[in-house]
Amino acid sequence: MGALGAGLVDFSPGLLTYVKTKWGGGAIDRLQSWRERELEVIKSRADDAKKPESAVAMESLAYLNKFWNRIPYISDYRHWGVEDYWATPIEALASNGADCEDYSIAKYFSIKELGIKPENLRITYVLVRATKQAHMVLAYYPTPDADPYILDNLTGRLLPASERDDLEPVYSFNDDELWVTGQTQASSKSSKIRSWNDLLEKMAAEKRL
Amino acid sequence: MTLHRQLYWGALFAFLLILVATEGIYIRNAHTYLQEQLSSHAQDAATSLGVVLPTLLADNDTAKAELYINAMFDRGYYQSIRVVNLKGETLIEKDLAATPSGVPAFFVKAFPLDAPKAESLISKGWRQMGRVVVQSHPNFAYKQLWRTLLESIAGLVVLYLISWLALKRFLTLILKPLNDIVAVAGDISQRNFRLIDNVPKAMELKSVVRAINLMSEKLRGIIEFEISQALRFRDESTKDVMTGLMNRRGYEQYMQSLIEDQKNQLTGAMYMLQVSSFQEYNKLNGFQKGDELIKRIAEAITATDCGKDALRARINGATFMVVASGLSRAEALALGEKLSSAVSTVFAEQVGELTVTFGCGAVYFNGHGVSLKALISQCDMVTLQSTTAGNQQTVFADFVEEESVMGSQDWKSLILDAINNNRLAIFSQSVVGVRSGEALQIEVVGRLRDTDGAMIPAQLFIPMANRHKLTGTIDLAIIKRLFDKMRVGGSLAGVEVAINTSTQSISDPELLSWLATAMKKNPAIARKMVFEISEFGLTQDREGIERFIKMIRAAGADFAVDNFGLHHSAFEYLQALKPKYIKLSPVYFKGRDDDPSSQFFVSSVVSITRPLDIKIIALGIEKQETLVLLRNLGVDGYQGYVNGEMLEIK
Repeated sequence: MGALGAGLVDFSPGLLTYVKTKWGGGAIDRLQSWRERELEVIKSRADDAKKPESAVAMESLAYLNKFWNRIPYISDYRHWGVEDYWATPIEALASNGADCEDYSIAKYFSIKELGIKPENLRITYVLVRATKQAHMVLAYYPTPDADPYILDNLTGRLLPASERDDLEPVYSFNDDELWVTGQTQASSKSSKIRSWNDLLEKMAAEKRL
Repeated sequence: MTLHRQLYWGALFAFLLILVATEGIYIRNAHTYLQEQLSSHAQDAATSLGVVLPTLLADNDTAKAELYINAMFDRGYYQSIRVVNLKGETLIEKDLAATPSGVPAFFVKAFPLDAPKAESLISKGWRQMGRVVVQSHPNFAYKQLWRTLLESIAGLVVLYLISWLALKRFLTLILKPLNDIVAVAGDISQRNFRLIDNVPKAMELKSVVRAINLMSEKLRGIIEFEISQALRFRDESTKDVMTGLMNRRGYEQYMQSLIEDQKNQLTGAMYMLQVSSFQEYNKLNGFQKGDELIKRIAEAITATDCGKDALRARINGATFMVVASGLSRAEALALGEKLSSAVSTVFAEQVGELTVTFGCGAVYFNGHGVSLKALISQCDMVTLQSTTAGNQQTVFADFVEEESVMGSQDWKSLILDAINNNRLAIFSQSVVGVRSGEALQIEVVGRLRDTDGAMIPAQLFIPMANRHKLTGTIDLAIIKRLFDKMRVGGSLAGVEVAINTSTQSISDPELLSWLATAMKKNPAIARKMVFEISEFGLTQDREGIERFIKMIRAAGADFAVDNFGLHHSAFEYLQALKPKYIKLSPVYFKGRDDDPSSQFFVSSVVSITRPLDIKIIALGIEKQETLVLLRNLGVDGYQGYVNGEMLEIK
């Protein structure tokens, strides 16, 4: 079992006001819905203490994967007006539009919130073989050397990577990589992935609202 | 500290601060940049290794990977490269031992650089294989930072030196107008009202310069106006309206000051020209014709060159006087003939058949023991002789001195004897302040005693001393005695003492050298000494006196003018020499309480001397009532019998 708590879905009144102002009452509903789901999953994990961890995990992942996949796919350019925009989970949900990074990001944070360790998760850049297009998915490694399960917005099913020949992995990362082993935290300014850093800052700003 | 210095050091200090701050910021930025570089450098290496290593790492065969890593490592930029598998076991490890950075230890301490570690995942497809951890070596960054520091400091130092020089130049240029202003301001404070020529361009300085110039001009204008007023007043009282020559009063003033000035050499001639039977001429031809004749004679006399500062006067209806100084006997003779022939011409044109004629007599005096009475009476006599002769020729005579009991050589030995045997007496008269009623100074004169102890009359021994050129010796003896008396504990200690000097004394080498030495040794005494020189003497040897003034002023003493007011260049030398005070010739006050012109003149003099910071002392004050007048006129001090007789200082 991982750490419990629902910090990610504790929406402050200020945040709710902001969301309502920007995206309307429907956004509030969607956020509330997420909150309920998240808490539900957390609770069920606690309840299912008897079941093996891996089974519980898979159930939770599948549940959340389906939840997030329900957000309609809209390209960054059409939705946000810029070429490449990494939305925070709140942004994606409230605005009711996401593209491949946004799904992966939202799933990543949602799943982390359940207590699943970041070292088991990897946001992965992939190539869609058929169309030679860039795509992003979330990979779940039950054990470090395992064949990971792919959480993808192209399908609602949680398939192992070996069954996902349609995707070729290129590069993967998670929060962890920003740690320097055995040393004190390196400055976030020397972050290797700028977009990730900006994203973290946006999420921190949301928390402060 | 001068403004120039203040600005200079202030600016230099500010520059220094800026440069130090700049250097600090620069180094800090370089440090931050290099730190980031170390980190991103490590990450780039980790990332590229992460891409390459999966293909190199065959199962359990790390040889290829090691080779590759070695190649990278040997470039020397990395402190360690490690490959770790999923279990955490180290597969490959390369470490560089700590080496000295080649950079001073204090520098490493002051600007520490972290050597961050960076990681990258090694995965084959979806399968994770492990991690690669790279750590940069900070040494190359330290070396770079150190070099940057040195180069930037060198650059900034050069910049600093250049700005130093530029600042110096710049300030000098800008403040040059200030120097001019200061110089002129200094002059003005010395009562020399100059103008500033170069008006600076800077606005503040421009207005200051304009203001100073305006003020200086105004003051000069005021003084010049007062001078013209003073001269007007003086002339009014001393000029004969009809002829433009001096009148009787002017003549008497002139002669009085001449005679008062016994100490100075008097060489010249007195000419008297008298028209005989003038009243009859008037009766027969009318006063108008008479006036014409007088005017023509006056013109003729004026036209004749009588030398520097000659007096031409009409002392009554038909009597003219000419007194010329500084003439040799031959010159005096020639002048006499010139005068008589000039007037002859006038008579020839004007007179016609009537037997009106004139007589001209001349007496030549050579500066010793000239008493006015004797001079006039002798001149009278020779004029009479000329009139009697009736040939309109000048009768020329030498001044005959009054019979003295002793011969000239006897006088010489008497004087020398008195000096050598210390039979010199010092007499003093005090000068009292008009407003305060207190003594301002003591004027001293020297007198000689004969072997019986009796005082030798001044009018006898002074001209003799002059003739034998012993004036300097006497004055030196007086000065020596004064230095003694003015010492601490002496009877004249701490008192301002005025000493009379003459043209002979100030060119006496023995006196000058003794005085210079004594004043240097006793600066306190020197500061209390004032050397008085008569206006007449001043006009005779201006250069010598200017040298003397320079010398005594350098020693702390000062000079003053005695018998002021009769010479036409009186006001010019006042502004040029700026005496400490002037003593007005007694002619302005002796028995003259009723003469408004004199009073106007004196008040004009006061107006002129006030801005020049020169005090005025009135001489020859005999009555208490005159003090009221003095106060009203603004005179500063007075001297005379009203204060009592001269006292001997023992």
